[in-house]
Amino acid sequence: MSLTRMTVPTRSPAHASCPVCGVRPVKQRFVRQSDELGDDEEIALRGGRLAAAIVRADAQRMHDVYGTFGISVFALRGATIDELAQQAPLVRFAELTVVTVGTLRGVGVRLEPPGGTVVTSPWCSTTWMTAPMRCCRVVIGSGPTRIMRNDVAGGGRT
Amino acid sequence: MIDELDVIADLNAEDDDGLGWSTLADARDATRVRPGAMLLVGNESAAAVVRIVAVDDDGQIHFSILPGSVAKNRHLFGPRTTA
Repeated sequence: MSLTRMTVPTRSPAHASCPVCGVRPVKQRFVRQSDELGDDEEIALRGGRLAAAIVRADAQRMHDVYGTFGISVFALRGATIDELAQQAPLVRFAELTVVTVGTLRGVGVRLEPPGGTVVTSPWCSTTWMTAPMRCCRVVIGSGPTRIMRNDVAGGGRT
Repeated sequence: MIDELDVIADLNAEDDDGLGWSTLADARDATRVRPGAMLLVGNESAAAVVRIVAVDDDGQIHFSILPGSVAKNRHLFGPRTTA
C-alpha cells in the first residue's frame, strides 16, 4: 500500500504566514491510493445530524490545520451500522446520519481514505470540494440522507 | 453539557493515527490542555471524556476517547466552573 502526501497551501490570519508570499504552511495528510469507495454499495456514516452550524465549525477547524475544508465520515466497509455504532466515537452520538457515497460524490464532495491508519480502517475523511455551507445544504436536500437513532447503549452518551 | 466542555471538537474527526483531534483555539482554557490531561471534549452532538495525547506547535490537539459514559468518567476531570 503506497501513501501519498498532500499539500494544500492556504491563507489564514490565525497562524503565522510567510512574510514574503503570505502563504501559511499547513499539515499534510496521508491518503491511501487505489482505495476507492463504490458509489452504490457503500454508505457513509457520521455521528450527529448535518446541522449547518456544526458542519461549518468542523469544516473550518479542518481548514485551519490542513488547509482544506472537510469533515470526517465513516465508511461502512465489512461491518454493519450496529457494529460501528457500538464503537467509539460513534457510540457517543444519539443520532447517526447515513448517506450513500454516490450522494456525496454527486454534490462534488471528494472522499479521501486516510493512509496513516491501518489498512482495514473503516473510516475515511470527506473533503468538501467547495464551500462547506453550500455543500452541507446540498447534501441535506439531495438525499437519500437518513437520520437514525443510535439505540446502542454501549459506552453510554450521558 | 455544552457549557462544561473543555474543548469544542467534532468526535467524528480522526487524525492519521486514528486519534481524535481539535485545536487550542477551541479550548476554553488552553493552559489545561497538556499531554496526559483528562478533559471533557465534544460539541452539541456528542461529548466524551478524553485523554490528551499530544499538543502540536501549530495548536492541533490529539486525544484518545476513553471508553464509558461521561457520567462514569466524570471523576477523572473533577469539578469545574461553567462559563
